[in-house]
Amino acid sequence: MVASDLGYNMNGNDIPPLDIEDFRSLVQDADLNISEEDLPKLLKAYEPLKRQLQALHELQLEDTPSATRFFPKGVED
Amino acid sequence: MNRHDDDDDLCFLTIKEAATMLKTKTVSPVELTEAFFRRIERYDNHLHSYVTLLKDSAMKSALISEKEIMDGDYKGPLHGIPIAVKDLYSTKGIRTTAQSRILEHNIPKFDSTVVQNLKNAGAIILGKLAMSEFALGRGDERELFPSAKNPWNLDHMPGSSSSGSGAATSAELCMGSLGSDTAGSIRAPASFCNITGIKPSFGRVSNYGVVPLAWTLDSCGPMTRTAEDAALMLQVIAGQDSKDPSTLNMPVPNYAETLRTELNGLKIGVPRDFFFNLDKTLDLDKEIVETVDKALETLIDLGAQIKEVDLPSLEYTSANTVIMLSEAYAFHENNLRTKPEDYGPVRRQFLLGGLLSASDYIQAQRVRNIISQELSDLMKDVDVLVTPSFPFTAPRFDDRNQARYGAGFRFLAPFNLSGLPAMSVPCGFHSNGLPIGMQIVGNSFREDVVLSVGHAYQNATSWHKQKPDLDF
Repeated sequence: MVASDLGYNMNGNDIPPLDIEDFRSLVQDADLNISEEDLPKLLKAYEPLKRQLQALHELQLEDTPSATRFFPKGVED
Repeated sequence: MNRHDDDDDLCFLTIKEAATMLKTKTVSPVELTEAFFRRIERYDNHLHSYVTLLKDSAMKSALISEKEIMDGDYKGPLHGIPIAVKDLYSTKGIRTTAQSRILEHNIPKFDSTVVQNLKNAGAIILGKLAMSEFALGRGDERELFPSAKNPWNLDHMPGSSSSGSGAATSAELCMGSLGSDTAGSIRAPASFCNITGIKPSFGRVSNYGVVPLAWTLDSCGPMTRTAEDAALMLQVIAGQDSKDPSTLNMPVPNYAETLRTELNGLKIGVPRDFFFNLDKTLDLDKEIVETVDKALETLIDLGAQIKEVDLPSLEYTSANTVIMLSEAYAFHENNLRTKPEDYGPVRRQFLLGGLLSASDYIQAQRVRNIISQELSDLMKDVDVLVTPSFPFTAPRFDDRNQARYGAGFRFLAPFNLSGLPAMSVPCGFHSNGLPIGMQIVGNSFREDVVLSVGHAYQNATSWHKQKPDLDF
C-alpha cells in the first residue's frame, strides 16, 4: 500500500497547501536526511497526510485514553 | 499423461486433500516436492513470485518426512506439505531480505517462531517469496528483486505487500504460504489473486523473528486456496509465544473440527454506508458491490441472517497510517540517516514518519481506541461483518494513480487498528477477468467463526476453484 493515501476518501477539510519554505523548516527540525531534489517530492507525499492529521486532531475525544486492548469481550474483566 | 499433467494433478491438490494422501501413503512428500519445483521452474520466470528457492533443504526435508511417514510417525496435516514464506520471516541460515538492499546480506541465525512451528509440524519450506520493500509500497522496479506478477493477468499487480505469497499460492507454486498484514497486506493479495487469506487477531500468532513494519499493527497469517487449508495452517502457527510479549494465552480451538457447512443462526453485520455506498465513495466499483451482494445472498441461503450496521468512526481509518508510519520510522531511523541510498521508493514513505509528532501518534492511538470500541460494541450484536475486500480489482502496474491504490486499503486497515480477525475469500470475477474478494471479519480471537463462514461459503460455491491460465 501507499501509506500516505489511506485517508484519500476521508471527509477532508479545506486547508491551504504548505509552503515549500515552511516545509523545509519542518524537515530541518525533524533532522531528516534528504536532498533539495527530494524536498518537493516529500512535500507532495506529506500534503494528504497533513490533511489526515488535521482531521484526527479536530476530533473531540474527551478523556479517551491511548491504550488499546485486544482482548475478546468477557475475557478482559 | 505427460509429466506436466502428473505434476498438475499433485500441485492442484488442496492441503487437506494432499494430507489425506500423504497419511495413507498414496503419495510421498518427495513426489510432491519435486512436482512443485518442476512447476516453479516452468512458470515462475514469468511470475517472479519466489526470490529464493530452497531446493536442497526442501528435498532433504521431504526425504526425512517420507521416512517418518513410512515408519508410522505421521505428525499431522502439514506433514510433508510444501509451503513457501514471505521473505520477511527469518529463516535460519537462509537470506531474509524483506525485499530491501538494507537486508540484502542478512542471514539470520534463527528461525522465526512461525517458521519453526511449520517445520515442527513437518511442513516442507520450498522457498522465500517476493514482497514489496519492507512490506510497504506497491512493488517497484527499483526494489531488490523483480516485482511478483498477478497470475490472472501479468500486467496487473498481485497486491501488496504479500505479493509473492498471493501469486505463488494462486498459481499453485506452493500449497500454502505465509503472509503478513499491517493494513491489509494478506487480504489485498488474496482478493487480487483469487485465494483465501486470513489476518488473525492481534496476539494470536507470534511475530517473533519477522521483520516489522509496525509493531502494534503487524499480524502474521496463512494464505491458501481454501478456508479449510487456512484452518490447518493457522492451527500450527497460532498460540502464545514467550518470545513475543504481544501474544496472548488464549485457548486455540481445533479450527478444522469446528468448520461448518451451514450457517443457521449466524448473524452477519453489513456496514453498507462505508463499504457499499457507490454515491459516497470515489473509487468503489459497481461490479464489486453487486458481486459481494450476490455472495451475501448465498450466505443467507446457508442460514445466516443479515443486519445492516453503521460504523461512523471508520471515516478516521487514517489513524492506521499515522501509527504505522510513526512505528516504521522508529525502526528505520538509523538506517534512513546512514544508508539512505540503500532504500528504494519506500524511503519517502518512511521519512513521512519522521515528520510526525508524539502528539500525532498519541492522537491516532486514541482514535484507534474509538474505532476498536465501536467495533467491539457492534460485535455484541453480530457474529461477523461482511464487506468487499477491496473497492476495485487489481490495478495495472502502469497505473500511476498511487493515491487511488493506497486509498483502497481503507476497507482493510480498520481491522488492524481493532486487532479483529479478518479473512478474504474469492467470491466472483469482474467483467475485466480479475478476481473479486469478500472480507469476513470476526470478533476478537474468533478465527474459528471467520473460518467457518468462509468454509461454508466455499462449500456452496466454486469461485475458489477457478484457476488462472498460465500459458503465458
